[in-house]
Amino acid sequence: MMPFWLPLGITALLVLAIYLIRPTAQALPVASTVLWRRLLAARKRRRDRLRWLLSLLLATTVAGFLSVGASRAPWLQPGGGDPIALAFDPSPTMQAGLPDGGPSRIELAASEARRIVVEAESGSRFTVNADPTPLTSTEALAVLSDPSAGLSNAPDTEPAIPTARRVHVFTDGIGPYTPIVDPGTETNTVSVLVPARNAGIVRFATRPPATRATGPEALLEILATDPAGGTVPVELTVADSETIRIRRQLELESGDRFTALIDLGSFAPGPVTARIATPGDVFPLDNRAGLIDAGRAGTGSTRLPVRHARSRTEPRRVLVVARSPGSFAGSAAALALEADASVDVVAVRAATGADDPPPEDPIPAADIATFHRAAPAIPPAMPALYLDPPQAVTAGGLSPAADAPLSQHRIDRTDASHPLLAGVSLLGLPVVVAARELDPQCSALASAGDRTAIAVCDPPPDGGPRSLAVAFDLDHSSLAQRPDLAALFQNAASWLTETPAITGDLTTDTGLQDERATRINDSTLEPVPADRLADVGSPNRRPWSWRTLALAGLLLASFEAITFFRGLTL
Amino acid sequence: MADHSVFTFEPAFLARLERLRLLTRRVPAGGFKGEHRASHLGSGLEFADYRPYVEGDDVRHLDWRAYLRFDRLLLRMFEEHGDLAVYILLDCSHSMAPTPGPRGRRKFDAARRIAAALTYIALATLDRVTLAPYSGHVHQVLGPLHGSRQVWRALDYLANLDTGGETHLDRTVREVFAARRRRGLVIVISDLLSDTTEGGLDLLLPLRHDVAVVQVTDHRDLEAPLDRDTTLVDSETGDSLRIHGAPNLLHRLEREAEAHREEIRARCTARGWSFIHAPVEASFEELALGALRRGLLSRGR
Repeated sequence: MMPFWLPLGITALLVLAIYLIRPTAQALPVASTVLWRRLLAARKRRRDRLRWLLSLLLATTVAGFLSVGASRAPWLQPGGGDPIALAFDPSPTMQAGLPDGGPSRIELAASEARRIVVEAESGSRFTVNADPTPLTSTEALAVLSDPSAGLSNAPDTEPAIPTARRVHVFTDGIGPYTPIVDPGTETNTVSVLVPARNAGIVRFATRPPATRATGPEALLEILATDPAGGTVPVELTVADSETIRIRRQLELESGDRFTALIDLGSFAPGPVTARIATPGDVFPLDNRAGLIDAGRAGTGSTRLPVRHARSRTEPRRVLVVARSPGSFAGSAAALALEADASVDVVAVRAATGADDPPPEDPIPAADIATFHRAAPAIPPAMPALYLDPPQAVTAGGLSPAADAPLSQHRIDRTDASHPLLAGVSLLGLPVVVAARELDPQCSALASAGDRTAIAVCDPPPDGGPRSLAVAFDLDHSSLAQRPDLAALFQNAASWLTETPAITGDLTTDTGLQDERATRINDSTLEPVPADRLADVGSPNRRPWSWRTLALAGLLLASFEAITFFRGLTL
Repeated sequence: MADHSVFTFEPAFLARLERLRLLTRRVPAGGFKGEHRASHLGSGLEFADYRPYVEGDDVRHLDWRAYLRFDRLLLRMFEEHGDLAVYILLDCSHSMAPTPGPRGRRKFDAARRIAAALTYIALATLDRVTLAPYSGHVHQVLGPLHGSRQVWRALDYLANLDTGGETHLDRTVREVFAARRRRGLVIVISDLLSDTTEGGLDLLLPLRHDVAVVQVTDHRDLEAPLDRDTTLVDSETGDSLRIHGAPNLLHRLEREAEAHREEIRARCTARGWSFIHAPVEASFEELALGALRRGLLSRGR
């Protein structure tokens, strides 16, 4: 917003410039100026004074009308009636970006809405979506300045638009968006449709095995669209909880549908994720889909269940991998796990080296893998708890620092707000810990000087499961004799198996498996002209307020009056 | 350097001037015999009127024949003749000659010529003439002069006058009449382009002089090239006045000048004074035998 003093300053400079460029007067010696002064004084006589006042009044009126007209003063405008409603399509396709990396359609919609607000009659009120609260233009511009925060989160696809004298509907014409508007209300549909390339997963679901009795199948369908009508290259990857199982390069024509049946029998237990990558793709939300193993989850739903520890009734299954199973028995960790009723140690296996062959016995299903003085070369695809991991092995977010000596410190810093430390006090605990580097994705839960004593990793949804590493030997710590150890283990069991972020994001991703949503160009609306896209990046600004312009007009009128009084104009 | 060229009058014109005399409505008794009839009756030779005798009157003026006819004591009244005190206040301010050269001095030359002519007439009729040139204050006063032999002295004095300074008629009147002077005829010769004109004339009123105001005007004072913004510079005060050109501005200025003149004329008329407009564009003979004679002169012998 332009500061208030700026237009006044510019006006003053203009007036000063006008005076400076006025032609200089010629000097003329006369016998006496008595008659001239009498002549000028005579203008103040009644008749001349009336004409003078009339001309001054006209000049002031003209200046006033110019100011008020330019400022669109509220009292001259019919803005006091019903507000103007701004309705934004909340469908996912509004998140599609514009070509060449431009902003999204919802941002384009917000820009158009800001333009409407700026150009509306002064004094108009606005409503946004179904919120009946009338907003001033300033408030509306504030709401529209961040479309990602307030506009696209409205899930209602059939909102009841408040009573308004005019409704502007911003939509790309894709998705089930049908605002309910009072009959007879003037409705203006603003298209934000910008055709662009997209490829999306429109179906990823399990189905009963048709010919094989050994395992379920997954049906995967990919749909490509390109306004240019060319070939759309797509890279497809399908992964289970351990590794990528399928990777393929596809060449799809615009409008082609790729269909595949995936045998899930060889997939590891846990979620299965399908991803595609397409150059120039403007709609990333349909590039990923996930499902749960039907044979294990017992459901064909594409939505993963969100598990919460506090509502869990069954104990968590803990698989222990120990460098020496014999030494684990009777250790402080074993005693703590044994005392925890919420966990069930299903197996204790001996750790193997990276080159060792895998054990022949099948690994039982587990919720948490606990590594006691051991760490695998590749982190498991399940929540893991590392207890006194070896110095030279990456585990639990602590990278090895070669030949790092062990030294005793006291824990002097903890993240007390972390749920893992609820009811746990570690400050002042003497620990023997090695100096290691903390993985950037992880954070220190407890530190002893410059050394990390306990590290936690809460990676992003597609970055793997959670893990917790206790970097010191519990059997050589006084923590084993304190109730804090049991509380820490209980918290760890809950926190490691919550995994809300992973399951939550998968749920969101799979919700986009809507063929109509993937067809981001399939709309009956007219596409947006290219010249309107140029304004999206720059914020719309309001013109000068009517007060500013009225004041500028008053200033000009004052100068006009001064020049009249001084007899400088005729 | 004396400039006598302005006083070169034709002999015939001088002869006509000599037949004129200054006209005044209130002639106070003068100390010398003159040709002016006094405003009161006295010991002259021309019978004027009778009036009833009151105690203390000179019994020598009783008309006994009238007493025998009307049985009333009547006193014979005679016209008394005396000289007239004439005070000529000549404006020598800068506005009388705003620009150098003969054309710029037209008003001043005309004023001096008028003063010379009036002095000539007054001295020829045995009046007492005092010349008081003034601008911001009174310059050296000449007079009172008496007798026609003083004409050349007066002309020489007028020829040596020059212009300069602002006009202050009020200050001039105070200075000239600060000393007790005889009541007489005060002739103010000026362009009257000063804010002090009215104030100065007002000061003359309680002195009970007869006053004649001669306004000398030059039409060039009302001409100015106003095709663009102009700053007028007052020749006397140096004050500047910025004006913007207007189509009828000069015409309005002429009307303003006429209005100014009529104001002063009306003021003089209301007081029983004379007002004579003496434009420099008119010939002096026309002026002397026309306007001056109508307002200030009368045929004498």
